[in-house]
Amino acid sequence: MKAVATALFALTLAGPALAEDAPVEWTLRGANFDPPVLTIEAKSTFTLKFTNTNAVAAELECKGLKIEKPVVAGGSIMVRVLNPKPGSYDCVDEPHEDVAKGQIVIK
Amino acid sequence: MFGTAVIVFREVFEAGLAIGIVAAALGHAPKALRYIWGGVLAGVLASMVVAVFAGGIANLFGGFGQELLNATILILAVLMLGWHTLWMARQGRQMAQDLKALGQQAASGSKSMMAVAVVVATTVLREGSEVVLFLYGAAASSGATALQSLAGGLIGIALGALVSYVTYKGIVRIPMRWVFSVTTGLIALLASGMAAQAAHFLQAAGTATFMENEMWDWSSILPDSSLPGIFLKALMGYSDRPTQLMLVAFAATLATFIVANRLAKPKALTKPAAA
Repeated sequence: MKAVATALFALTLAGPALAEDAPVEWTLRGANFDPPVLTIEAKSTFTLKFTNTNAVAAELECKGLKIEKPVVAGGSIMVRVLNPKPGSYDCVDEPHEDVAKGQIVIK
Repeated sequence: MFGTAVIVFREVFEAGLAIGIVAAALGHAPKALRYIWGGVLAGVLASMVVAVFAGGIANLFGGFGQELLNATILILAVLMLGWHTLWMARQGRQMAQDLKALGQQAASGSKSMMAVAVVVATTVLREGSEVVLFLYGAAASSGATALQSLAGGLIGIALGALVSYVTYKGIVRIPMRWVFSVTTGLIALLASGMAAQAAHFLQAAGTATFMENEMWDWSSILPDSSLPGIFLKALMGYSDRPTQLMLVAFAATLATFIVANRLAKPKALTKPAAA
């Protein structure tokens, strides 16, 4: 186990690998996602840069895409999505999921 | 308010379940409770520090700082659980050879209990930093929605703690002669699940870019966002769409813990009546 864990730890320290593609950008303004529907070409992997312009913390959640990551007020996060399947996925800012809704479409 | 309550409940329950298993397995050791509660307290304090610097941490390593922090603390927890298991195994063998060693165990137990405290602290830190982030965000802003979020968060903490306590009580009620093997198994599962989640975070950060293919898709049968899914995730790192690396990490850790626990077998053979 230690050998495995040590190897994993070494990988942790090795830092992120080279970026595969430029990240797709998405922004939360108030309860609105910009753009409301984000269209992405299907690939084995894509990276999303999500910016929260609000004065309170947000959490981007897209259930079918396994995205679930908090973002501080005025901050932005990177999300790497593995094995996305074509389709449309509902996304919310979870603390305000009743009003703040967006969608990601994988083509 | 409901949204925040659900988030906070889930985080508290995930941490509480893991702590409940550890406490049920090791709570009988001398001064165990002191180390477990010490770990909880350290984890809460560390969570506050992490939450304050959350924006900065998120920006580290090209925006994947949070994933790498999570991976690192998970790996640390797995190592500590492994170390404690090996220590218990060695101790068990010694006890079979010499019953007087029991006193020794009490004397030297604190070293190993420190590992337990670290496991508890890292578990609280992992889930707690997100909880603090939301509550801090809610408290820092003003207005009715902020108060609602705060109230929701507190409800979430209370419910999460309650459900964790009930689960802990359930584990403790297992008959004494089985409780050791059950909790040993649970700890092995817990550590293996942590290893799988560490693998997930390394892949989510783009640090590990190999064995990324999906093994299967059970999201329609047992989604990991459902209540049983959340339970299984907290217990053994369940994911409805695991990658190859996650499964390898799970299997390798589980195999290592099984081998480590085998080392403790002589104790059970030579001391069948005592429990």
